[in-house]
Amino acid sequence: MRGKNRYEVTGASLLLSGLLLSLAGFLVFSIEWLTALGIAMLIMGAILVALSRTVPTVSPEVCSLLLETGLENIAAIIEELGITSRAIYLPSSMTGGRPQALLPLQLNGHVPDISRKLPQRLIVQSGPAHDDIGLLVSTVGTAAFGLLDNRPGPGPAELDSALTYLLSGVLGIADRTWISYSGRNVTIEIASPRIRQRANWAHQFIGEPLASIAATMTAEALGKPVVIEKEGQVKGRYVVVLGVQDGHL
Amino acid sequence: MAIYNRYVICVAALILASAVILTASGQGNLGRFYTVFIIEAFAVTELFLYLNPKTRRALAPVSVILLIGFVAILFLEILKLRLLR
Repeated sequence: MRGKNRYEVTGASLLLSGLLLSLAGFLVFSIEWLTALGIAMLIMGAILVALSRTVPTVSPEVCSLLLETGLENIAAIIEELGITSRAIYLPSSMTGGRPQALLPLQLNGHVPDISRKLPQRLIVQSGPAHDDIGLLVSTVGTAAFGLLDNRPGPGPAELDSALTYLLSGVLGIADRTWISYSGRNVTIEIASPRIRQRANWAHQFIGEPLASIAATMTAEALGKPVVIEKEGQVKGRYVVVLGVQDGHL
Repeated sequence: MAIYNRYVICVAALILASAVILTASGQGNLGRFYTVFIIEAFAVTELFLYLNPKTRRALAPVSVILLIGFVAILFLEILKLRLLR
Protein backbone atom coordinates (compact mmCIF):
# COMPACT_ATOMS: atom_id res chain seq x y z
CA MET A 1 0.00 0.00 0.00
CA ARG A 2 1.67 3.22 -1.15
CA GLY A 3 1.25 6.93 -0.45
CA LYS A 4 -2.08 7.82 -1.92
CA ASN A 5 -3.87 4.59 -0.94
CA ARG A 6 -2.43 4.71 2.56
CA TYR A 7 -3.94 8.13 3.27
CA GLU A 8 -7.19 7.32 1.52
CA VAL A 9 -7.78 4.00 3.28
CA THR A 10 -6.80 5.38 6.70
CA GLY A 11 -9.01 8.41 6.18
CA ALA A 12 -11.99 6.33 5.09
CA SER A 13 -11.52 3.98 8.06
CA LEU A 14 -11.41 6.91 10.48
CA LEU A 15 -14.50 8.46 8.90
CA LEU A 16 -16.47 5.22 9.22
CA SER A 17 -15.36 4.37 12.75
CA GLY A 18 -15.74 8.00 13.83
CA LEU A 19 -19.30 8.09 12.54
CA LEU A 20 -20.20 4.85 14.32
CA LEU A 21 -18.51 5.92 17.54
CA SER A 22 -20.10 9.38 17.65
CA LEU A 23 -23.58 8.00 16.88
CA ALA A 24 -23.18 5.28 19.50
CA GLY A 25 -21.84 7.73 22.05
CA PHE A 26 -24.59 10.27 21.42
CA LEU A 27 -27.66 8.12 20.83
CA VAL A 28 -26.98 4.89 22.73
CA PHE A 29 -24.62 5.56 25.63
CA SER A 30 -25.12 9.34 26.04
CA ILE A 31 -21.43 9.73 26.93
CA GLU A 32 -20.03 13.11 25.84
CA TRP A 33 -16.35 12.15 25.76
CA LEU A 34 -17.09 9.12 23.56
CA THR A 35 -19.07 11.30 21.15
CA ALA A 36 -16.24 13.88 21.18
CA LEU A 37 -13.75 11.13 20.36
CA GLY A 38 -15.93 10.08 17.44
CA ILE A 39 -16.05 13.70 16.22
CA ALA A 40 -12.25 13.93 16.51
CA MET A 41 -11.95 10.78 14.37
CA LEU A 42 -14.32 12.27 11.79
CA ILE A 43 -12.19 15.45 11.57
CA MET A 44 -8.96 13.44 11.18
CA GLY A 45 -10.57 11.16 8.59
CA ALA A 46 -11.72 14.15 6.52
CA ILE A 47 -8.23 15.68 6.66
CA LEU A 48 -6.59 12.42 5.58
CA VAL A 49 -9.00 11.92 2.67
CA ALA A 50 -8.31 15.51 1.54
CA LEU A 51 -4.54 14.94 1.76
CA SER A 52 -4.81 11.68 -0.22
CA ARG A 53 -5.79 13.74 -3.29
CA THR A 54 -2.52 15.68 -3.22
CA VAL A 55 0.18 13.11 -2.52
CA PRO A 56 2.35 12.21 -5.53
CA THR A 57 1.13 9.26 -7.56
CA VAL A 58 4.64 8.21 -8.57
CA SER A 59 6.40 6.04 -6.00
CA PRO A 60 9.70 7.20 -4.47
CA GLU A 61 11.45 4.22 -6.09
CA VAL A 62 10.42 5.36 -9.57
CA CYS A 63 11.51 8.92 -8.79
CA SER A 64 14.88 7.59 -7.64
CA LEU A 65 15.24 5.59 -10.87
CA LEU A 66 14.54 8.65 -13.00
CA LEU A 67 16.97 10.78 -11.00
CA GLU A 68 19.77 8.21 -11.16
CA THR A 69 19.31 7.62 -14.88
CA GLY A 70 19.60 11.33 -15.61
CA LEU A 71 22.65 11.76 -13.38
CA GLU A 72 24.41 8.76 -14.90
CA ASN A 73 23.91 10.14 -18.40
CA ILE A 74 25.35 13.51 -17.40
CA ALA A 75 28.26 11.74 -15.66
CA ALA A 76 28.99 9.74 -18.84
CA ILE A 77 29.04 12.90 -20.96
CA ILE A 78 31.32 14.69 -18.49
CA GLU A 79 33.74 11.77 -18.39
CA GLU A 80 33.84 11.27 -22.18
CA LEU A 81 34.51 14.93 -22.85
CA GLY A 82 37.14 15.15 -20.13
CA ILE A 83 35.42 18.04 -18.38
CA THR A 84 37.23 19.09 -15.23
CA SER A 85 35.68 22.51 -14.59
CA ARG A 86 32.96 23.14 -12.08
CA ALA A 87 29.50 23.87 -13.40
CA ILE A 88 28.38 27.47 -13.55
CA TYR A 89 24.73 27.74 -12.60
CA LEU A 90 23.06 30.34 -14.81
CA PRO A 91 19.76 32.16 -14.20
CA SER A 92 16.99 31.91 -16.78
CA SER A 93 17.78 35.45 -17.98
CA MET A 94 21.04 34.07 -19.43
CA THR A 95 19.61 30.90 -20.97
CA GLY A 96 16.58 30.18 -23.07
CA GLY A 97 14.00 30.51 -20.29
CA ARG A 98 15.03 27.93 -17.67
CA PRO A 99 17.91 28.14 -15.22
CA GLN A 100 20.58 25.70 -16.38
CA ALA A 101 24.21 24.80 -15.71
CA LEU A 102 27.11 25.55 -18.01
CA LEU A 103 30.02 23.11 -18.00
CA PRO A 104 33.03 24.86 -19.60
CA LEU A 105 35.02 22.48 -21.79
CA GLN A 106 38.26 24.35 -21.27
CA LEU A 107 39.92 24.56 -17.88
CA ASN A 108 41.23 28.09 -18.28
CA GLY A 109 40.30 29.30 -14.82
CA HIS A 110 37.98 32.11 -15.76
CA VAL A 111 34.24 32.40 -15.94
CA PRO A 112 33.24 33.29 -19.51
CA ASP A 113 31.84 36.77 -20.01
CA ILE A 114 28.28 35.87 -20.95
CA SER A 115 26.95 39.00 -22.60
CA ARG A 116 23.97 37.53 -24.41
CA LYS A 117 21.39 34.81 -23.94
CA LEU A 118 22.83 31.41 -24.64
CA PRO A 119 21.07 29.39 -27.32
CA GLN A 120 19.16 26.29 -26.30
CA ARG A 121 21.78 23.83 -27.52
CA LEU A 122 23.90 21.25 -25.76
CA ILE A 123 27.21 22.71 -26.97
CA VAL A 124 27.25 26.50 -26.80
CA GLN A 125 29.67 29.35 -27.36
CA SER A 126 29.48 30.96 -23.96
CA GLY A 127 31.91 33.86 -24.41
CA PRO A 128 33.85 35.94 -26.96
CA ALA A 129 37.08 33.87 -26.80
CA HIS A 130 37.51 30.92 -29.15
CA ASP A 131 37.80 28.42 -26.32
CA ASP A 132 34.73 29.67 -24.45
CA ILE A 133 32.76 26.59 -25.33
CA GLY A 134 30.70 24.60 -22.89
CA LEU A 135 27.86 22.21 -22.36
CA LEU A 136 24.55 23.72 -21.34
CA VAL A 137 22.72 21.09 -19.30
CA SER A 138 19.57 20.86 -17.27
CA THR A 139 20.13 19.66 -13.74
CA VAL A 140 18.05 18.54 -10.78
CA GLY A 141 17.85 22.22 -9.88
CA THR A 142 16.33 23.07 -13.28
CA ALA A 143 13.50 20.58 -12.79
CA ALA A 144 12.97 21.57 -9.15
CA PHE A 145 12.75 25.27 -10.03
CA GLY A 146 9.91 24.45 -12.44
CA LEU A 147 7.81 23.45 -9.41
CA LEU A 148 7.78 27.01 -8.07
CA ASP A 149 5.03 29.44 -9.01
CA ASN A 150 7.10 32.59 -8.52
CA ARG A 151 10.72 33.58 -8.86
CA PRO A 152 12.36 34.14 -5.44
CA GLY A 153 13.48 37.65 -4.49
CA PRO A 154 17.18 38.53 -4.11
CA GLY A 155 17.19 39.13 -0.34
CA PRO A 156 18.35 36.34 2.03
CA ALA A 157 14.94 36.16 3.76
CA GLU A 158 13.09 35.79 0.45
CA LEU A 159 15.51 33.18 -0.86
CA ASP A 160 15.36 31.33 2.47
CA SER A 161 11.56 31.28 2.38
CA ALA A 162 11.44 30.08 -1.24
CA LEU A 163 14.10 27.40 -0.71
CA THR A 164 12.47 26.13 2.49
CA TYR A 165 9.09 26.02 0.75
CA LEU A 166 10.58 24.05 -2.17
CA LEU A 167 12.68 21.61 -0.14
CA SER A 168 10.22 21.09 2.73
CA GLY A 169 6.74 21.80 1.38
CA VAL A 170 7.00 20.67 -2.21
CA LEU A 171 9.79 18.06 -2.38
CA GLY A 172 9.84 16.90 1.27
CA ILE A 173 13.64 16.32 1.21
CA ALA A 174 14.67 18.65 4.03
CA ASP A 175 13.17 20.49 6.98
CA ARG A 176 14.33 24.09 6.52
CA THR A 177 17.19 26.30 5.41
CA TRP A 178 19.30 29.18 6.71
CA ILE A 179 20.96 31.57 4.28
CA SER A 180 23.67 34.14 4.83
CA TYR A 181 25.50 36.44 2.47
CA SER A 182 29.15 37.28 2.97
CA GLY A 183 30.96 39.26 0.32
CA ARG A 184 30.67 37.27 -2.90
CA ASN A 185 29.69 34.06 -1.07
CA VAL A 186 26.28 32.70 -0.19
CA THR A 187 26.18 30.07 2.54
CA ILE A 188 23.14 27.82 2.67
CA GLU A 189 22.57 25.43 5.56
CA ILE A 190 19.93 22.75 5.03
CA ALA A 191 18.48 21.02 8.09
CA SER A 192 17.69 17.28 8.13
CA PRO A 193 18.46 16.48 4.49
CA ARG A 194 16.73 13.32 3.35
CA ILE A 195 18.49 12.69 0.03
CA ARG A 196 21.23 10.11 0.19
CA GLN A 197 24.57 11.30 -1.14
CA ARG A 198 25.92 8.88 -3.69
CA ALA A 199 29.56 8.54 -4.68
CA ASN A 200 29.08 9.77 -8.23
CA TRP A 201 32.13 11.09 -9.99
CA ALA A 202 30.11 13.75 -11.82
CA HIS A 203 28.87 15.28 -8.57
CA GLN A 204 32.23 16.94 -7.94
CA PHE A 205 31.55 19.06 -11.06
CA ILE A 206 27.78 19.61 -11.01
CA GLY A 207 27.19 19.15 -7.28
CA GLU A 208 24.95 16.84 -5.29
CA PRO A 209 21.19 17.22 -5.91
CA LEU A 210 20.66 19.45 -2.85
CA ALA A 211 23.55 21.72 -3.83
CA SER A 212 22.27 21.79 -7.42
CA ILE A 213 18.82 22.93 -6.26
CA ALA A 214 20.32 25.53 -3.91
CA ALA A 215 22.64 26.87 -6.64
CA THR A 216 19.82 27.07 -9.19
CA MET A 217 17.52 28.94 -6.81
CA THR A 218 20.31 31.34 -5.79
CA ALA A 219 21.29 32.07 -9.39
CA GLU A 220 17.68 32.75 -10.27
CA ALA A 221 17.06 34.91 -7.20
CA LEU A 222 20.19 37.02 -7.71
CA GLY A 223 20.04 37.03 -11.51
CA LYS A 224 23.77 36.17 -11.57
CA PRO A 225 25.81 33.04 -12.28
CA VAL A 226 26.89 31.06 -9.25
CA VAL A 227 29.42 28.29 -8.72
CA ILE A 228 29.32 25.63 -5.99
CA GLU A 229 32.52 26.33 -4.05
CA LYS A 230 32.03 23.82 -1.26
CA GLU A 231 29.38 21.39 -0.02
CA GLY A 232 29.19 18.77 2.66
CA GLN A 233 27.54 17.43 5.79
CA VAL A 234 28.33 19.37 8.95
CA LYS A 235 26.75 18.12 12.20
CA GLY A 236 23.40 17.02 10.77
CA ARG A 237 23.10 19.95 8.38
CA TYR A 238 24.06 20.02 4.74
CA VAL A 239 26.11 23.14 4.06
CA VAL A 240 26.54 24.58 0.58
CA VAL A 241 28.82 27.54 -0.11
CA LEU A 242 28.18 29.30 -3.40
CA GLY A 243 30.40 31.80 -5.13
CA VAL A 244 28.49 34.53 -6.94
CA GLN A 245 30.16 35.53 -10.17
CA ASP A 246 30.12 39.04 -11.54
CA GLY A 247 30.72 41.19 -8.46
CA HIS A 248 29.38 41.60 -4.93
CA LEU A 249 25.75 41.21 -3.83
CA MET B 1 5.44 13.46 2.31
CA ALA B 2 7.28 14.06 5.57
CA ILE B 3 5.53 17.39 5.96
CA TYR B 4 2.13 15.73 5.48
CA ASN B 5 2.93 13.18 8.18
CA ARG B 6 4.07 15.90 10.59
CA TYR B 7 0.91 17.90 9.88
CA VAL B 8 -1.38 14.91 10.53
CA ILE B 9 0.49 13.97 13.72
CA CYS B 10 0.29 17.57 15.00
CA VAL B 11 -3.45 17.85 14.40
CA ALA B 12 -4.16 14.40 15.85
CA ALA B 13 -2.02 14.97 18.94
CA LEU B 14 -3.57 18.38 19.65
CA ILE B 15 -7.14 17.24 19.16
CA LEU B 16 -6.77 14.13 21.29
CA ALA B 17 -4.86 15.97 24.03
CA SER B 18 -7.55 18.64 24.22
CA ALA B 19 -10.26 15.95 24.33
CA VAL B 20 -8.54 14.37 27.33
CA ILE B 21 -8.08 17.75 29.07
CA LEU B 22 -11.66 18.85 28.47
CA THR B 23 -13.03 15.50 29.70
CA ALA B 24 -10.80 15.58 32.78
CA SER B 25 -11.99 19.11 33.60
CA GLY B 26 -15.57 17.90 33.57
CA GLN B 27 -16.76 19.50 30.35
CA GLY B 28 -20.01 17.98 29.15
CA ASN B 29 -20.91 20.33 26.34
CA LEU B 30 -20.25 18.76 22.94
CA GLY B 31 -20.28 22.21 21.30
CA ARG B 32 -17.23 23.20 23.35
CA PHE B 33 -15.37 20.04 22.34
CA TYR B 34 -16.14 20.68 18.68
CA THR B 35 -15.20 24.36 18.84
CA VAL B 36 -11.82 23.58 20.40
CA PHE B 37 -11.18 20.85 17.81
CA ILE B 38 -11.84 23.07 14.82
CA ILE B 39 -9.84 25.99 16.23
CA GLU B 40 -6.88 23.66 16.63
CA ALA B 41 -7.30 22.20 13.13
CA PHE B 42 -7.43 25.71 11.60
CA ALA B 43 -4.47 26.94 13.65
CA VAL B 44 -2.21 24.00 12.74
CA THR B 45 -3.17 24.31 9.06
CA GLU B 46 -2.19 28.00 9.09
CA LEU B 47 1.03 27.34 11.02
CA PHE B 48 2.20 24.83 8.43
CA LEU B 49 3.31 27.61 6.09
CA TYR B 50 5.16 25.35 3.69
CA LEU B 51 2.25 23.17 2.61
CA ASN B 52 2.02 23.59 -1.14
CA PRO B 53 -0.97 25.44 -2.67
CA LYS B 54 -2.45 22.21 -4.04
CA THR B 55 -2.64 20.78 -0.53
CA ARG B 56 -4.17 23.97 0.85
CA ARG B 57 -6.81 23.90 -1.88
CA ALA B 58 -7.58 20.26 -1.04
CA LEU B 59 -7.97 21.11 2.67
CA ALA B 60 -10.26 24.09 1.95
CA PRO B 61 -13.48 22.01 1.60
CA VAL B 62 -12.71 20.33 4.96
CA SER B 63 -12.35 23.79 6.56
CA VAL B 64 -15.64 24.89 5.02
CA ILE B 65 -17.47 21.82 6.33
CA LEU B 66 -16.01 22.33 9.82
CA LEU B 67 -17.05 25.98 9.72
CA ILE B 68 -20.59 25.05 8.70
CA GLY B 69 -20.69 22.68 11.68
CA PHE B 70 -19.54 25.50 13.95
CA VAL B 71 -22.24 27.84 12.61
CA ALA B 72 -24.84 25.11 13.18
CA ILE B 73 -23.70 24.68 16.80
CA LEU B 74 -23.77 28.44 17.30
CA PHE B 75 -27.31 28.56 15.90
CA LEU B 76 -28.44 25.75 18.22
CA GLU B 77 -26.91 27.50 21.25
CA ILE B 78 -28.70 30.76 20.36
CA LEU B 79 -31.94 28.82 19.91
CA LYS B 80 -31.45 27.18 23.30
CA LEU B 81 -30.89 30.56 24.97
CA ARG B 82 -34.01 32.05 23.40
CA LEU B 83 -36.13 29.05 24.43
CA LEU B 84 -34.83 29.27 28.00
CA ARG B 85 -36.06 32.87 28.19
